[in-house]
Amino acid sequence: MSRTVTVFAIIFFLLFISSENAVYAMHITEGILPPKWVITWFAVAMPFVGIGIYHIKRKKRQMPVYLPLVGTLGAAVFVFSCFPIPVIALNGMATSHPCGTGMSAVLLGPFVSVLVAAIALLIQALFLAHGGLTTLGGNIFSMGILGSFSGYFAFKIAQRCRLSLFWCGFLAGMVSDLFTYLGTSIELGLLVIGKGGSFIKATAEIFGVFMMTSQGVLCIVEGIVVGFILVFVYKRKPGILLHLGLIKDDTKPVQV
Amino acid sequence: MEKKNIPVITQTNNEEGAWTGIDVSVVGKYAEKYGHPPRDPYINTDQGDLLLFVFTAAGVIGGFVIGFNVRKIFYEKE
Repeated sequence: MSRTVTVFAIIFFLLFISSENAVYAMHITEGILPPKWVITWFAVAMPFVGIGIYHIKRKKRQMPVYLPLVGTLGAAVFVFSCFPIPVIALNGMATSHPCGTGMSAVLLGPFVSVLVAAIALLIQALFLAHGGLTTLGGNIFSMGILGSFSGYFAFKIAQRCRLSLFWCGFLAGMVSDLFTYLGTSIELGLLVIGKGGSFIKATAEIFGVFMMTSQGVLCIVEGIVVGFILVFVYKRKPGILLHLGLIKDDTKPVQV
Repeated sequence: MEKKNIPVITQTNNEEGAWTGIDVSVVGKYAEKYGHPPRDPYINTDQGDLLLFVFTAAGVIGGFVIGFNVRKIFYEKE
């Protein structure tokens, strides 16, 4: 059974990654951000990455399975964030990618999720011509910080509303995807400041285009995937969710 | 005849062709509009089949990492 899952994971990975179009997706490409914003976004992102390293050191002592979980979700975020999904949306045919940070934020915590996203984005910028080194801080802000924290809080709010585990995961995935693209829109919208444009108008316009081009559909897909992953973890090893504080008692059935 | 200002919203994808990534059709287009066009990455693997190679290699490595850890977490007995 475990061998089947491993083989399936590899085939699944190869099928979706082996595409030249993969280079084009949401990341802000090299050269787009001027130096002042490069420095600003790095300054914003680095403290979150540092706290993420501290959280990993602390949690791996409390939970033996935490490091393998970080490895799995790190690789999953890497795959999700460079895997172009064809979408037929309001504005025609396009490809875009999910983010995966909603899922990692729920299972690893938001700070560790930022760290995982930062590593994934760095590898993509170095070797896959995807994103950029000067725009790394900006991409960490949108996908790592906004994506992780929005997904984490969406999950917590959904739990407070007593939604089932699937719907809590669905909302985490969907909201994190939307906030990631909102972050990218904000970063691009800020470029109009000092050029006579309106930041709010530009941000709203770019976000609207993202929604109509692909993300309106893709955020729902990401929500469904995260929902199913949480249900899978609960059915296979509820103890993990218990250790992570996502469920209170693994002897009582949770509504999935 | 006066040229109409067509909003970018109607131009995406149609100019670039079907299945264009939104990095090109949205991010790149707006960046150019605001005077900051994208440029080539410092390590440019987007040359011929080199990109295909690095994506496939990344896929294989990532797939092994996921498979190994999933097995360790969910299928091995403690």
